[in-house]
Amino acid sequence: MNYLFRPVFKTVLKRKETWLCVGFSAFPLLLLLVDFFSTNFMQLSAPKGSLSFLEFFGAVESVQYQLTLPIIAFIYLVVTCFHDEIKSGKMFLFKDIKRSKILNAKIASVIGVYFIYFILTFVASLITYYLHLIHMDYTSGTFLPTQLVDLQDAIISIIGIFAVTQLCILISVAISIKLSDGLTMLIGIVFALISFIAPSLKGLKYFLPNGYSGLLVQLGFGTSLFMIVLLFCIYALIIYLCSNRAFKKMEY
Amino acid sequence: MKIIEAQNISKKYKANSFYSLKDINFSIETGDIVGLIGKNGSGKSTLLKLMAKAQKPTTGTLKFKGIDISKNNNILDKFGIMIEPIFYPHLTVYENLMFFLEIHKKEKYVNNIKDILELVDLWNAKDRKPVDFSFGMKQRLSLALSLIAEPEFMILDEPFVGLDPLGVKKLIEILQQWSATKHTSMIISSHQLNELEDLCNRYIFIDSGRLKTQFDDKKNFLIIRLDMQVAQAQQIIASIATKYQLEVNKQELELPLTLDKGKLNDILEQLSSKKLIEKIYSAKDELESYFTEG
Ligand SMILES: Nc1ncnc2c1ncn2[C@@H]1O[C@H](COP(=O)(O)OP(=O)(O)OP(=O)(O)O)[C@@H](O)[C@H]1O
Ligand SMILES: [Mg+2]
Repeated sequence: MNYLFRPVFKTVLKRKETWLCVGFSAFPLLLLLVDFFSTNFMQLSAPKGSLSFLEFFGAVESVQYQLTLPIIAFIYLVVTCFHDEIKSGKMFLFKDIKRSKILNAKIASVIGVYFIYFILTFVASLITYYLHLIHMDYTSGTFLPTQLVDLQDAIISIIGIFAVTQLCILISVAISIKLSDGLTMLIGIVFALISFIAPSLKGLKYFLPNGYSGLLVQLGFGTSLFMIVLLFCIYALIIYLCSNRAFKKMEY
Repeated sequence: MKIIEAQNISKKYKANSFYSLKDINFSIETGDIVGLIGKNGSGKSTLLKLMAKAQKPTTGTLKFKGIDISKNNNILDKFGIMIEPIFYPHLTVYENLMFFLEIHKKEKYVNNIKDILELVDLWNAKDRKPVDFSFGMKQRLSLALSLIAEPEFMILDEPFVGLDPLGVKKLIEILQQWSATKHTSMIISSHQLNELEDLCNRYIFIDSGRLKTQFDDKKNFLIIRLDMQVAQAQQIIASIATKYQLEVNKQELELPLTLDKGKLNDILEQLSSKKLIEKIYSAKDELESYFTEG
């Protein structure tokens, strides 16, 4: 990681937009409230004694993703860190530091915020599960599912969404270097929406990392995992190269 | 020594069909404070952005100490740039300066922070965020950022805009002091000609993207435009010029304001007895004449 990362990440952490993103990681804690008020919101149902922590976490991540709000917050963060800064002449601050170094530090900072969000979601899920859900009869109280198939399913689903969210962020970065905020939001959200339905679409599910949770039975765990990682790397690399080109040529 | 050299610089923005700058050539010597003047839309900001590498020239090269600035990264290391308010509004004044030093690996200037902030009168506001600063305060923060790492060359785009008379005076003092003690060279674009006159020793005038003329500061001169139709005008003027060591510029004779009474009367007497004097004006009017006459 280049030396720019630390100062750039620090400035990103001081942004309100960042805390909006990270705030969504408190989402699982809502379950504590929901049950407290005994409403029907996001009622979990599962066979008696079956839901392990990891499956719960997978479900949380999936609902969070389909909620779209967190991803919109992340696209908004990208827009403020890229297009808004370029447009408002903040790039003069960096003078002629190598453009790819600046880009790397910025991308790493935004992805860093996503990591914080992911980890905090994990922690919030832990709290919710072990403090509250464990008293429900549909939870098993174990960390991992007892059945291997369930474990594999949970892992593929978690990694799939983890990968596709980052792709969505990277795509927004690439667009935001050139296009306006509105267009970036639009395209980023459209990508997110397409990826929601990907797992249920025949052709498309092979092309998106989160499609493989529906292909697990057919392809097996190893192949599915490999495909997710492979697809992620290829897409991330292509998007990164495009961003790098655009950022290098960018004038302000 | 030439610190900046511009060779055949042209710039056409992609969106436009016309050139915003065309075939610009000039150079800046170490210690020069150059005033960049021209009407709205004449290409001043464009030229400064090219120097700051925010825009790339369509043709031509810009050199800093003989090195083409487009050839490598970090060539602007010794530049102080103040083109647009360039700070982060969500960081405090102090954090902004620290951030700037960190990204440029100039932490050794940390001890400058207090001095610079006191210089621009922001030390008491160092823990405030610039979001709700007044325009002048924002301007002064940008100035602090451009000065903090002790640049050798400064690019200032309309630094006086929005400052109150006191602020303008202070800014001029700061820049003068900086140039005297640190021999910083500068290029300053501005419409405020009086302010520039206090500061600059040279001017570059651009009009519709073309360099119309460049000239040395004449604020300490009285300029006499001569009527060259008069018989023997050439000879008379030539002899006066050599006798009193004066500069003649086409049909203009330049008299230093420091000329003593005897010489001044002599010269004027010789000129007026032959009715050679067409007009007398000060260099301040001359600067303005570039705008009015175009
Ligand atoms: N980013 C841009 N894209 C397209 N055209 C531009 C851009 N920036 C400037 N121009 C054009 O280039 C010309 C010169 O503009 P510039 O901003 O350099 O003028 P200026 O001398 O700084 O004017 P002012 O005194 O108003 O600040 C103008 O015709 C302007 O419309
Ligand atoms: Mg301008």
